[in-house]
Amino acid sequence: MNSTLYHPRRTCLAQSAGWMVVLWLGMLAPNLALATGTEEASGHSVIQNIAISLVAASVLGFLMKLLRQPLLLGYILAGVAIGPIGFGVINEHQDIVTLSEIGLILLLFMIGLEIDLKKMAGAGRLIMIPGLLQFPICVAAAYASFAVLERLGFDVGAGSYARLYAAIAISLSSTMIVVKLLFDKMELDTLPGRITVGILVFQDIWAIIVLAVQPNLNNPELAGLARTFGAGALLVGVAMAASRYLLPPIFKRVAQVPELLLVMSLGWCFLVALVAAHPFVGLSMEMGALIAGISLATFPYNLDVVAKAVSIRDFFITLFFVALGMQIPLPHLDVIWIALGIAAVALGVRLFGVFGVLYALKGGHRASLLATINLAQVSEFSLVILTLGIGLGHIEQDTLTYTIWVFALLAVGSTYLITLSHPIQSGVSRLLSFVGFKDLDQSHADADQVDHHPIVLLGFYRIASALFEELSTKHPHIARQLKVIDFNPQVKQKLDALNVAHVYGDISHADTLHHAGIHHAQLVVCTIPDGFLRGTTNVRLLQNVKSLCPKAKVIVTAETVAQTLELYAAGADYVLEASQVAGDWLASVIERSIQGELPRIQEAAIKDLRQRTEVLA
Amino acid sequence: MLFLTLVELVYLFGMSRVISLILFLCGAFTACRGDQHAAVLATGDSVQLVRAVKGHELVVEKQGQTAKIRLVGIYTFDPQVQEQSDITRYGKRAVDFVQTKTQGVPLRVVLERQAPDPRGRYLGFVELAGVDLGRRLIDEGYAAIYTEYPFSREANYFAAEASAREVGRGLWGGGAARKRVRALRETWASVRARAGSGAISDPLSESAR
Repeated sequence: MNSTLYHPRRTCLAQSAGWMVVLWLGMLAPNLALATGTEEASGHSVIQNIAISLVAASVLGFLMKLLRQPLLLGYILAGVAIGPIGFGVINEHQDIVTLSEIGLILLLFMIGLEIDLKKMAGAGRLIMIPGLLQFPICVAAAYASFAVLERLGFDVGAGSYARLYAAIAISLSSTMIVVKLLFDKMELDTLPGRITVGILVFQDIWAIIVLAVQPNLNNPELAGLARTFGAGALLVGVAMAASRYLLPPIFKRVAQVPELLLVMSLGWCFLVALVAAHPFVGLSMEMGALIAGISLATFPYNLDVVAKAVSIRDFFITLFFVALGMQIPLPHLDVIWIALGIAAVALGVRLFGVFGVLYALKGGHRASLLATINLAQVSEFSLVILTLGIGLGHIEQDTLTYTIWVFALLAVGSTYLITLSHPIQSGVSRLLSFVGFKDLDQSHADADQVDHHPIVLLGFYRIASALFEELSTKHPHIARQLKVIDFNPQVKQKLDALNVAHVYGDISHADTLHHAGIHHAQLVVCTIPDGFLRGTTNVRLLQNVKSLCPKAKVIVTAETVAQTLELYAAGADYVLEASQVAGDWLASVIERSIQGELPRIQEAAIKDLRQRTEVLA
Repeated sequence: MLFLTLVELVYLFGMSRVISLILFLCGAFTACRGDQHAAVLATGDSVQLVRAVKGHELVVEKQGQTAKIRLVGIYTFDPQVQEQSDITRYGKRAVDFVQTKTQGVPLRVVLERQAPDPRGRYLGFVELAGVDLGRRLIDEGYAAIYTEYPFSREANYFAAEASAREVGRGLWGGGAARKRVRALRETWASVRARAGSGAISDPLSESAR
C-alpha cells in the first residue's frame, strides 16, 4: 500500500519540477527577446507585469510549499528573482506597488470587520494599556539603543532623523503577517490573539499620528494636527451612525444574494476609504477601510464577507510582497550585518514594550509572551513611513534599505516564531520562572474559549428544520449541542430567538467552516441535497470537513443510489437518501392502509403536524 | 534585553549551535570592524584615490594604508539606490566624475577636524593641483551644499552653487533631484537652527517656502 502511494507522488513531484522549468523559461523569454530591443520596448505593460509577478509567485510559492517554508518568503523571493537584482524581467515596479495597495486596504477592512469593539472593551486594561504604551516605550527604547550603538560605530543611516525614523519603523508590527498567521492558526479570538490585535489597532492609530506629524517634523504645528484628528473623529462618527440607522435595512435585503452582499460590503469599504482620502478629511484610504470594517463588525454577515473577500485580498497581498521583493537592493555584507543588529533591537524593545507592560499588568506568562512573539516583526507600513521620510529629506535611502532587510528577515523569522509560538512560550516561561519572573496562579490563567457544540448542521433547509423539531421535542439535550451554519438571515433570526448556536456564513467556503470552529465538532451533518446546494456538493463538503476535522463523524445527503454509494466510498459515515426513506415509509403506510388503518394514520399525522413549530414553516 | 531573544534561540536550536553562531557573529564583527582604514591623515598629506563610495565619500591610500574621507560641505546622492529617477543618475555621475578626475593624480588633504567622526571618516577637503574637488562637484551640478553643519568654505561654495543653479546645470536641471535637495535643505536648516550652530541664509531653503 505504501509503495503504491509513494510512486505517484514522486512522479507528481517530477512533473511539477518539469513544469517549473517550463514556467521559468516562459518568464525569461520576453526578457531575452527584449534585451536586444530598444529602451522603450523594455517597459512592460501593467498587465504583463502582474502576470509575470503572479507566475513567479506561484512558482516560488510552490517551491516553498515543497520545502515547507513560509509562503511569504516565496513571494518575496519571486520579487527578488524577477526584479532588478535578479533576472531583471521587471524594472518598473511602480504600477505593481500602487495596485498592491488595494491589498492593504482590503486587509484593514477585514481587520475592522473582525474587531468587536464590545469584546475589546471587555478585555479592558489588558488591551488598552499595552496598546497605548507599547509604541512610545518601543520608540524610546529603540532610540536609546541606536544612540548607544552609534557610539560603537554601528549607525542606522546618514540622514538627520535616521535614528528617530528607524526607531519608529521597528516599533510597528506587521498587521498583515500577524493577522494572516493568527487567522490561519485560529488564534484571533483567544486572549493573546485579542491582545495582539488590540495592540496592532493602536499601532495603526499611532502610525496615523506619525503620518500627521511627519510633514511638520521640522516645525510641528498644533492647528494642523488638531484638524486631522478632528476629521478622523468625525468620519468615525458618521460611519458608525450610518451602520446603526442606514445600513441594516439595506443589508438585510441583500443578505440573501451572497454576491451582492460582497459587492455592497466592498462598496461601503471603498466609499469610506474615498471619503477618508479626500483632502478635506486628510486621512489615508487604509484608515477609511478600517473604519468601514469596524462599522460593519456588529453585522451578522461579516464572517461571510470575510470568507468571500479573502481571495481578492490574497491576490493583491501576493502582489504586495512580490513588489517588496523587487525593491530589495543588492545585499552587501555590511547591510546585512546592520540589518541583523536592528532586528535584534526590534525584538529586544518588544520585551519592554509588550511583555514588560503585560507582565506588569498581571497578564501572566502565557498571554504576555504569546503577544510578544506574535508582534515580533516590522510593519509594511514602516516602509511607507520611511519612503515618505526620504521624500521629505529627513532621512536617506540607506535607512530604508536596512529596514527592508529587517522587514524581510523578521517577516520570515516571525512566521516560524508564530507557528511555533506555543512551544517557545512554554520554554521561555519555564526559564522566566527559574530566573524569578513568577507566573500567575493557574486558576487565574486565561481559558481559551472552548466550543460546547459538538454537532454541527451545515445548511438549514426543510430536512434540517424537521430534524431540529424532532430533536427539540424528543431529545432536547441533543438539540442543545447543535450549532447551525447557514446564510439565510431569517433562519438566523429564528434560531437566535430559540437560543440556538448559529454562525452566519456560506458553507461552500472552507474558510467559513474553519472559522465557525468546525474543528471542535464530533458530528457534522449536511441535510441539503446537491440540487439545493450552491457552489458546493455533498462530496466536496465531505472532503472539506474530513480535512478540517478528521476525527468527526460525517452525515451527508444524496439524491440517488449511485450518489449514496459514491459518498460512502468518499468516506461518509452515514448517507441520508431522502427518497429511500420516503419510499420505505410510504410502503408501510400502504401496507397498513390495506388493513384499513389509513384514517388512523391520517389523524395522527394531522395532530403531529399541528403541534409542530418548525423554524421553516 | 537581548538575553530573552537568546533564550528563545537556545530553546529552538540547542546550546552548542547558538554558541557557535555567537562565535561566528563575533568573528564577522571583528572582520567587518577591523582595522581596514588604518592610515592616519593630517592636513597637507598627499594621498591617492582608491575608490569613491559616493561623490562625497572617498577611500584614499597613503603609504599603502587606506582611510575614508567625507568631503565637508557637499552632498551627493547615493549611486546604489533603486529609486529609478534622476536621483540615482546624479549619484552615479558624481562618483564617475570623482573617479575620472582623480585617478592616478596625487590629492592634497585639508582636514576640517583632526580626529575622524564616529563612522571612522576624516572630515575635510581634497585638492588636486590646488583645485578643491568638492567645489568642482558643485560647479558641475553633481553636488549640493550640505548645510547641516557650518564649514569654513561656506561662502565660496554658495557662490558656486548659485551659478550652477542659475543655468540649471546637473541636478539643478532635474525634477526629482532638485525637489529632493530642497527637502533636504529644509531639514538641515531646521536641525542646524535647533543645534544652535547659527542660522545660515540659504537662498534655496527660503525660496522653497
